[in-house]
Amino acid sequence: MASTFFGLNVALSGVVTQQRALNTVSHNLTNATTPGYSRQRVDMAANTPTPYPALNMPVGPGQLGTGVVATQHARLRDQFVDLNYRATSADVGNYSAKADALSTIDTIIDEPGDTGLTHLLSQYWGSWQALSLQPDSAAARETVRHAGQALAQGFNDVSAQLTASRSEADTRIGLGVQRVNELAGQVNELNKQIAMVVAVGQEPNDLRDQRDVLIDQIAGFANVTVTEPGANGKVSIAVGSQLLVDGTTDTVGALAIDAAGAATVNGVATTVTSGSLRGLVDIRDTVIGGATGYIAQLDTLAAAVATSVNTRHAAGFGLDGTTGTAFFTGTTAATLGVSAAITASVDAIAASDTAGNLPAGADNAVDLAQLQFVVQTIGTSTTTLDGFYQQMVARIGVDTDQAGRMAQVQQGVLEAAQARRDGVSGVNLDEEMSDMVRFQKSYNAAARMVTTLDEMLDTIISRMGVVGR
Amino acid sequence: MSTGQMTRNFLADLEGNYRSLADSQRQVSTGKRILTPSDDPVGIAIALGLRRDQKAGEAWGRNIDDSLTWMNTTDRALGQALEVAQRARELAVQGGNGTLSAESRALIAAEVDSLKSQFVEIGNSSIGGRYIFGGTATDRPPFDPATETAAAPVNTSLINREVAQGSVISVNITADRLQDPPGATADIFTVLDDLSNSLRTSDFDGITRSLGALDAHQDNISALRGEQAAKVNRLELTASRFEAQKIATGDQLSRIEDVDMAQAITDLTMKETVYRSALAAGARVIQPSLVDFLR
Repeated sequence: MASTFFGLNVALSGVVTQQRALNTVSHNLTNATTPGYSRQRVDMAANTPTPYPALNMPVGPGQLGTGVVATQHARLRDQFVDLNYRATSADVGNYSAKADALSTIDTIIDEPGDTGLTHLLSQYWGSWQALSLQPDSAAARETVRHAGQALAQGFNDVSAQLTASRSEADTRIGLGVQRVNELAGQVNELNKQIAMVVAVGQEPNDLRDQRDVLIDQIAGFANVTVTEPGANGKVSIAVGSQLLVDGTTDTVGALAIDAAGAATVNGVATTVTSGSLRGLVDIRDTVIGGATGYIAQLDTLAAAVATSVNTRHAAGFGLDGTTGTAFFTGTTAATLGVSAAITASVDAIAASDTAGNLPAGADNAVDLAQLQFVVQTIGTSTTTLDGFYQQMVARIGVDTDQAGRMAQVQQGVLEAAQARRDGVSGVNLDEEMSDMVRFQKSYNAAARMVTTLDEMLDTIISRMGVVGR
Repeated sequence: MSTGQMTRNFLADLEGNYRSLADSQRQVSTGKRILTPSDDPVGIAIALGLRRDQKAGEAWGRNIDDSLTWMNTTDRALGQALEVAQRARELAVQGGNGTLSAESRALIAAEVDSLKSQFVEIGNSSIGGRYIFGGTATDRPPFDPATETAAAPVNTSLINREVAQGSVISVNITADRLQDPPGATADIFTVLDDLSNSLRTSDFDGITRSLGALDAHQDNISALRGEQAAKVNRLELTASRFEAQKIATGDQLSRIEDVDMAQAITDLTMKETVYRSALAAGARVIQPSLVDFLR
């Protein structure tokens, strides 16, 4: 026979468990906007029943339920959705890093604009045309010098800005690597805490959430693979082929990316194929820097302008009879400048093709103006000087447009992954509220049971056996 | 669906709407469809090429204008030179008349002498301080007024200008061609000197020879004018071709770079409406949940 107070215990289990469920609802509600928070649920099960013996029977006719028990606090999370989310997040990181850097360049080259190189080149060739009309005019000569200086300055500026963009990418790579290593350290710490909680048989849901947020962040920087090496709740994180966080040994590796773009973990080569670090390395070493990058192309153009102008210019004669003068100095976009001779005197500008044709001979000026349309080999292209630059501008346009579009597409995919993840892990206020009502009512009912049992006990204790008193 | 997701979706949509609204606004306020290369990478390559052609066309246009001024001045000078030659011929014919007295012939000879100075003046015609018959030595007079002959050294260089892509034209006639016709005929000053001498000495054979020589000079100057006129024609044709090209290029450039205003403004209005609707819908959808109704 069940004890007198048996029912109180059953009711109590209800009160306690429903309260626990209500607390979980409360926890969910308050974390509805917490980034990375996963909805939690109290799993309930009927407690182990006890046999219920009859008066004349040692073995009971049935089993008596002993109430409810909270079996676990489940964290609603789908690791396949996480996998998808992190892979997409790495792609978004890659393309948005590129799109960001490129959109800056897209703006700084100022095409089509009045300070762009196209305009400056046109002005320069035009100034030679003007000089061909009045080769003996100091004003026309001044125009050529000025246009030459503006062109050189234009090359210097664009080169400086490209170099600045490249340095910025470099700085961001450094900061990104540092951040990844910090995050890895934090994951390792959480790993240890989680293992401790798991060891005592509990579910460290919130710690896992925090750890997942950190892993999500790492995934934005580089491609990661997450594995759970043991049953202790720890995870290992690999970047490429190398473990960054080792869940079996509780060690953290150091990710590094060198000036050539090669990635290593603890000095062992690995590959970063995605994430913002990949994007930034591409920008730094291939798109802006590198043998075929924008800076190299601009340098090729600057060298071609300097060489073709100088060769032609040196063949001519200045108003002062000088010959063999270079118009430009420098062989790169950053160092291009107008030669000292021309800076010193505009009379050194060689408009005439022979000394005998001074002062009004302008055949050399005509030839120099015609350089604009001379098809030559520049780098690997056969085109005009302007044409080469136009190709470069078009390439910047295509690159920027493509990176921007890819970033947008990947962002869309990421949003879809986020939506799928939310579908599993996100908190819906309506759902929580209806749960709240449910648990509250159950709590009330269990409490009412206590009252009922109390009244029953009152009957037993206060009123039983009072006959004849 | 979680509550947070709804907010996020709403924000993402709103941001998309806002970006596209900002794009439209920028297009309307600048009137340009291409503001950076990424707006239309293919378009920009064409646009930059067209802009370059436009600028180059402008420079060639200026070259043509300047050349035309130069050539018109040259033509005027050649016209005057022709008149001098004609007048000399008239005087030679007049002086060849045997009934004239020696005094009259001396008077005619004096006029011939003054024609010489006139020819020197014509030969020293200038534009803005540049002697047009001086070859590339535009800074010194090609004829010496003191000796009334060509000043040494005679500069025979041509002044060349580019008037279209790869098309170079010489705009000047040099002093040697002005004073010396091709062939064996002596230069104009020698001819005028001879004529003057023949008139003074009543050398009728000499006067007759001068007549022939003056004919050759007239032919020469006429030929020079013809040559100039042909070039002027060519330049004027090129100039009008540039005008037509300028319009075509501008038109093409505008089609690539400029915004169709009617369409852009319609787009802008439409996007504005969409944006407002999204805001209104968001305000309604986000608020209510069971929280608002449970008591």
